[in-house]
Amino acid sequence: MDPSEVAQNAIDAAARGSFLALVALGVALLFGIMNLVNFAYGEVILAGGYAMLIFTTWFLDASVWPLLIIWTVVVAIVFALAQERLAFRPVRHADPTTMLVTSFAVSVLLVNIAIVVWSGLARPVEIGGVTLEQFTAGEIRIRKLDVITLGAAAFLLLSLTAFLKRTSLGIQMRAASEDFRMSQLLGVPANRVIATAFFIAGILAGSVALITVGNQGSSSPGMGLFPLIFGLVAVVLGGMTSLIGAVVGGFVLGGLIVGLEQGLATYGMERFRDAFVFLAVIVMLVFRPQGLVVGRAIRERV
Amino acid sequence: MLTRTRQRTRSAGAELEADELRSAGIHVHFEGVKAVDGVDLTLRRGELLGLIGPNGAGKTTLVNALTGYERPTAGQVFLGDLDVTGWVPHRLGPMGMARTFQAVRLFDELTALENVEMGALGVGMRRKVARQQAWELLDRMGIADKAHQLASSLPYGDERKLGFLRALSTRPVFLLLDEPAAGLNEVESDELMLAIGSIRDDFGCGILVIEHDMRLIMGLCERIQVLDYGKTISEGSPSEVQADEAVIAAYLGRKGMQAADGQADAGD
Amino acid sequence: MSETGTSTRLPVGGSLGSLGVRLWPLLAPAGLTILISLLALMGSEVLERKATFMLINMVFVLGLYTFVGNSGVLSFGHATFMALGAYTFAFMTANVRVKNTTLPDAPGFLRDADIATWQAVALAAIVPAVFALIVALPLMRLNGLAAGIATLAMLFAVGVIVSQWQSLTGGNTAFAAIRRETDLYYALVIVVVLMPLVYLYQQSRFGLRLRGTREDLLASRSLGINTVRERTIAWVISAAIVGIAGAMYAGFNGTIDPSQFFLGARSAGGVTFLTIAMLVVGGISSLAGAVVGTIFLSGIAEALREVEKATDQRHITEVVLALILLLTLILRPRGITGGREIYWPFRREQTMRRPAAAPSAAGTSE
Ligand SMILES: Nc1ncnc2c1ncn2[C@@H]1O[C@H](COP(=O)(O)OP(=O)(O)O)[C@@H](O)[C@H]1O
Ligand SMILES: [Mg+2]
Repeated sequence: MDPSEVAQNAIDAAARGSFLALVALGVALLFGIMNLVNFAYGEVILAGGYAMLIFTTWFLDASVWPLLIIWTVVVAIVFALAQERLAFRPVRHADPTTMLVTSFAVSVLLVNIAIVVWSGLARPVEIGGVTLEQFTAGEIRIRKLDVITLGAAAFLLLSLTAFLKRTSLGIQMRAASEDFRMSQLLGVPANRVIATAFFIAGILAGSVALITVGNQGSSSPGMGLFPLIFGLVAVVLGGMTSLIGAVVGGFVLGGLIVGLEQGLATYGMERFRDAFVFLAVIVMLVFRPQGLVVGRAIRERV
Repeated sequence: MLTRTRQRTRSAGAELEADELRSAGIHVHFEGVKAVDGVDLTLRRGELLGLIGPNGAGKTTLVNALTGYERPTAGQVFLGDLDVTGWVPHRLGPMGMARTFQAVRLFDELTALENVEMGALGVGMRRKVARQQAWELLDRMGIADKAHQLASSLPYGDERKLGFLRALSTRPVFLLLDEPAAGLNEVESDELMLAIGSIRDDFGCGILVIEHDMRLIMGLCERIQVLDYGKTISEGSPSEVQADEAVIAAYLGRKGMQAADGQADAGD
Repeated sequence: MSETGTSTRLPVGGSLGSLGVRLWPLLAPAGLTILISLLALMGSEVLERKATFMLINMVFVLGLYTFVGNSGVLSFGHATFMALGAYTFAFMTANVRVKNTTLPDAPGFLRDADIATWQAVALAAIVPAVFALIVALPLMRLNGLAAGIATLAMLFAVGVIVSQWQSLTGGNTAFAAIRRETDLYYALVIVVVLMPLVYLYQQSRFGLRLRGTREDLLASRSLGINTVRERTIAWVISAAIVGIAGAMYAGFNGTIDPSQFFLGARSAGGVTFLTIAMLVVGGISSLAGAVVGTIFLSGIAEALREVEKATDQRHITEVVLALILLLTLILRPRGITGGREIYWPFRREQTMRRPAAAPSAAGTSE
């Protein structure tokens, strides 16, 4: 591979990685606080996607993009909080498997509502030409959207870090994700911490929705599924119990995907790429269940 | 009767003839904590051995290391001549090892009868034989009338008995009981200790009993080993141990702490 | 569960009546299923097809129950076995001429295969079972959430392979001209054969040991129970059963394609969701739950399908089913049956008696 090809691949990997890191962070946040693997997190992204459709068809066009962004993120936050209040709070004390099935039910419910309302087909969202624009430097092409993705990811990661490190609510959140029961004993309010986690997850999902719709130019009932699944994969790779792990996992997965595409292409097998990705998940779960970055211990004492 | 009908369906064969369970220089260290710090212990067949020590002394961790629940940081575990260090628990069961848990850990959604059956099934007995034996054991402890109740619905005292019977139904050669009387009242404790004694007589197995209460253990065991801070600080007959300065110091010195520990324990 | 003290009552030793009472947890759900099927037979052809479809789902749920109900480990991956069974059945029975034109690159023995239906069904059980045995080695070590995610990963991985391996499976295009022999009688015979097997497994030492690991993994190990082994046994049996459901489905529909089995942007939950919902709504840890849940949700789903047809509005069914599942999880997490079997409602003591052979003299040593 010549240098420009390497650079191109690195840029691709970084763009995908930062996207996956955003999804993974949302998944890991909820897992850390309440042991919830939230399938329906994909449908928070979905809500953001259809919010964009509504905005561009009914209200304004996408040229007032700051409003579009705020609107999308707000809708996602509302959906995330509603999920928590209506579905997950009642099962908060159930075992993780029950919560997992609950989130599966919520996910199927929301996807099918979207189909009933907007049909199963993708609906184009008019967001102008951002999606197609790209910079070129020699042989390297950089899509403007990838730059935006990287920038947004960097901004959100830094803000989240600042929030977790500097504010008292953030510190309480970190305590809760380390050891929820202990943090309860120390007086951290459960409802507030959990609601905050869903709030932040909503912000992340809204951003992911903006990027996804930017990429595909449309909203569709299935648009939350693959970000969610790959976000989950990233979380497993990085480590279920660590936020840093989620980010690391996102970038590792981004690299893995690009690497697999390159490697498999030489055998004409790139369409099997995802099979290898899921195989990697199983291998990881079996041989290194704690992930690449180790968070809190999960072994049970007798 | 149980002893006479004892025919082993175990896969293990010759090793079962092991007449002692022995640990040599066992260490179990957790990050920073030396929970068990070089303990030698021998449990012979047919013997009742008491293992005592203040809270946090490392008793449970030692039993965990003996039964495969904790891999020793250093040291070895032998069944007779066979080195079983690092063996997983389910390999040791069919070799004649059984244990109970400090927190009982019953199969909540199964009946009392099924709980007791499970031990026999675990070491490879058929369902019919297992069921028959379970009835006998329940009868023996006087809880046969509760055979069809779910374990989760039993009163605490019966839960303890059931945990003991479940381990017993594997027909163990070595039985390790982690605080079998914890939380029982005085009458119940005495009753249980009597039962443990009679089981040893009938089954001829070696029984190790962890117990907090000096009074109970003194009446039951022929030999006692005392742990403190992961080390053996005394060993001998009940009267020898009772007179040992080190033991008195360990217990008195930790009196204040014990109350606090006891509360933390109740949490888990 | 009753608190009846049982030791004093005399058993009715060995008569057919007492056997029936003892087997009531099997006879009740089986009887209910047969009754509903016969009622459907008397109805219209549409009703008959709906009942057949219910029985196909029931076979899937029985298989799912065998593993999930007894082990307590959730699986999102069983649709994989259904797909393997369905494709096996398709290869073995589809019209040879059609296969040779649509799948010219598939191996000859598959293109030219044309075997008896019962043989194809057997093969549709064996292929997923062998696959299950192979993947068991890594998967059966996992617990709780890790197991849920890993089985999901298995579903996706196999889904990618089936839908992308164009030359073998035809990819996303439909596999057509499969021998259509699944009718209500055929489905009912399979259910009536499989349900006792599932019950038998549950009552065997293997089933009970597995339930021990479900209740307390660590405690069960101290009794010599090898979790991985017990789970693997149930996993393989359940894969075989679900594979049969796949064969039934292929023989019912006549055409199959990956989107019918695997989760994707289009499937919106699909068979994975439907069968998990049936099991959870019925009660995850009992045979009665598997059967009752299947019948209950099938009834609701089929009624709603009619509404969908009348209003020309698809996917209402999935919305309602998801709501029912959600409400069940929140209000009655153990499902309709509470996860218990159905016991003979009269003279209960007989179902729970102690064996006649048990010695009356307690504590032989004293
Ligand atoms: N899994 C573990 N991780 C870390 N520390 C442990 C673990 N298990 C036990 N310990 C520590 O080891 C010490 C001995 O514990 P334990 O064996 O339970 O004592 P005992 O049973 O005598 O009360 C305690 O300080 C306890 O906190
Ligand atoms: Mg202890």
